[in-house]
Amino acid sequence: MKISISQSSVWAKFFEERDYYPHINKCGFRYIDYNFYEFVGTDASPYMDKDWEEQTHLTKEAMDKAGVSAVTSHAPKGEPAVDTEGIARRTLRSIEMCPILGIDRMVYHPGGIKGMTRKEYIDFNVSYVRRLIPALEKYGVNLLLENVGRWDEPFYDHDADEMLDLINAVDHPLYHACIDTGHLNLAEGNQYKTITALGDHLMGLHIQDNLGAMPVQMLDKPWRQDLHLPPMTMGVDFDEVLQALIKINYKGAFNIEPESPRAYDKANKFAVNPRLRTVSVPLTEEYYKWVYDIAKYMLGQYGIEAE
Amino acid sequence: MKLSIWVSPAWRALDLNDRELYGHLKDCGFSRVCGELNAPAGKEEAEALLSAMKDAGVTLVKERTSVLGKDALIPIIESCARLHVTQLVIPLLSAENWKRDEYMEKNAAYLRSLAPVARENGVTLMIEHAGHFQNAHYTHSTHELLHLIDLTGEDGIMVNLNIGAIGLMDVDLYPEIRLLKGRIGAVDMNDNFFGMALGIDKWREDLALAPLMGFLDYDEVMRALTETGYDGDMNLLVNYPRVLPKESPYITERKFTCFPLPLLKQFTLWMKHTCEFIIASYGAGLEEEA
Repeated sequence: MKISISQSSVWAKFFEERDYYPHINKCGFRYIDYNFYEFVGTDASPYMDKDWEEQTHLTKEAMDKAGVSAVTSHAPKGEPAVDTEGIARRTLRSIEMCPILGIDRMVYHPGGIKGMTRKEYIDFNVSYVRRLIPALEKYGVNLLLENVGRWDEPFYDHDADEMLDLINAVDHPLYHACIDTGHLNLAEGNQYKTITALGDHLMGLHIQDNLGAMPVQMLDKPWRQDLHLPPMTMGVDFDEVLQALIKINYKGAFNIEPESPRAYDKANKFAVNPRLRTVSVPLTEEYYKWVYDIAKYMLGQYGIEAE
Repeated sequence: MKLSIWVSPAWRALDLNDRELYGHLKDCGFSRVCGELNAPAGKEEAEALLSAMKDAGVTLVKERTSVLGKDALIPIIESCARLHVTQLVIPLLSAENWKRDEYMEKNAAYLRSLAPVARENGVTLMIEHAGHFQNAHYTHSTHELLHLIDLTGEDGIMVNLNIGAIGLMDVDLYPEIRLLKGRIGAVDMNDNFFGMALGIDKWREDLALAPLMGFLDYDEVMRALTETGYDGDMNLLVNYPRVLPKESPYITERKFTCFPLPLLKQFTLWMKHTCEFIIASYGAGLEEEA
C-alpha cells in the first residue's frame, strides 16, 4: 500500500510550494496528497492565472525531480454552500490540473449551512456535484466525499449512512468516499463499521488522531478538537481501521494528515523578536520521518507491504 | 540549564525492567530523569533502583507524587532522601466546600507541617499551578500560588513551573513567569492548545504534548525564564504519545496496545533536539552531564 502525506501547512513556514518536495522525499515519503486546498484556495493563486497550465507543468517537474508523485488530492478550501461560484470555479480549475499532475482522485468537503434540513442538504450537494461531473468525466477524476463535522455542525455527513445517502443520490461512477479517521472520532463514529459499510466506495483516507468528541463547552474552540496529530498517538482505534481496510480489500493510499508541529502565528507583545514560531527545517524533517515510520509500522503489523 | 525527562506512561506501558528503561532513556540522550513516587520506597527497593540507574548512567533528579496528607507524605519525603532526590512536587489539599481563605489557610498549615520533615531529609517541596479541571483549587494563577507560599512563612517551598498547566489558564505567560523570579525550583516543559473550560476532563484538557506541538508561546516562556535568571532543570513532562485501546465489538485481535519502543525512542530523540533548539534559540547554556 502506498503511504502518502498531506502537505501540512508547517512546510509553508519555510518554503514556496515547489521547494517542499525534496524535503518530503527526505522524510521517506514518495507519495503525496496534493494540496489544492491551499494552493488553489483563492482566486489570487497562480494556478488561476492565464498561464496556469505552464505553472502546473512546472510543479509536476518539481515533483518528478524530487522523486514524489501525487496519488490523491484535496479540493480548494471554502464552504460550497456559502461561496458556491467561487469554490466551484477553483475546484473546476483544480480538476483541470489533475491529469497534468497525474492525479485521479480529489477529496472535498460538502456544503452545509446551519438550519439546512437533510433534504435541503442533499438537494444542494447533488446539484453542486452535478456541476462538476462533466469536468470529472473529461479529466478522469474521481470526486471523494469526506466525512466532516461534529454532531453540532450543519452537515449530514457524519457516518456511513449519511455519506451513502448523498453518494446514492448523486449516483455517478466517479463519485465515492474518503474517511477522515479524526473527524469520525469527533463524531463518535465507529471506524470499523463505517469503513466496512462504505466498502468499494472508499477510495481515500485521511489518517489522523485526536481524543474524540468534546463537550458542548468546547464547540467554539475547534482547534482543541480536530487535533490532526499522527496516528497511534491519541484515541482513534487504528486496529479497527486496519482490520476494516483489509476486510474491504482497500486499494487506495494510506494517506497521513498530521498538522504538527504547529506554527504559532499569533502576534504577541510579550514575544519580542520571536524565534520559536515553529521548529526548524531539520526538526520538521526529523518529525515527519517519525510520522512515516509510524505509518510503515502500522501497515507492517498487519502484514501490509508499504510502498 | 539541564535537560531531564519524566518517565511517562508511554514508557511504563512497554513493561521494561528498570535497567532497560533507563538504558533506553540514556540512549536518547537523557542522563537526568524525573519519576512518580506514590508509595514509599524501602531501603532495598531504593538501592535496587539507584543501582539500575547507576548502571544506565542516569540520575534521578525530581519526584512527583499524588499522595495527600501529612502522615502519608512523610514516608514519601523519607523515600526521596533514600533515593538521593532533592526535589518533590506535591499536590495541595482541597474540598468542594472550601472558600478561598479556608483553602489558603489549610494548605499553608499543611505545608508548614511538612517543611521541617523536608528540611531534615534534604528535600525541597514544590507546588504548581492548578488547571481548569481542578475546580476546588485556588492556585490557578501565579499571584494565588505565591500568596499561599508567602502565607506559610517558609523560604524553602518553591514553585514547580509546569508550562502546560499555566498555559491552560489562557494567561500571558511572560508576565506570569516573571512574577516567579527567584521562586522557581524546577520547570516542566510541555504544550497544549490552551485551556478549555471548567469541568472538562483532565485527560482531554491537559494534553501534555511535546513543546512546540501545541499553541503555547515558548518565545514568551524563554524570554521570561532567561530574564529571571533561571538555570535549573528543564524537564520534559510529556504525556504523549497516548494509545488508548478501547473495547470493540468489531475486532478480535489488537496489535496497537502501546507505542512501540523504536518509535518511542525516535520521538524522544526528536523532543530532545527540539528542547535543545528552544534553549539554544535564547542563548541559554545547556549543561552536559559528566
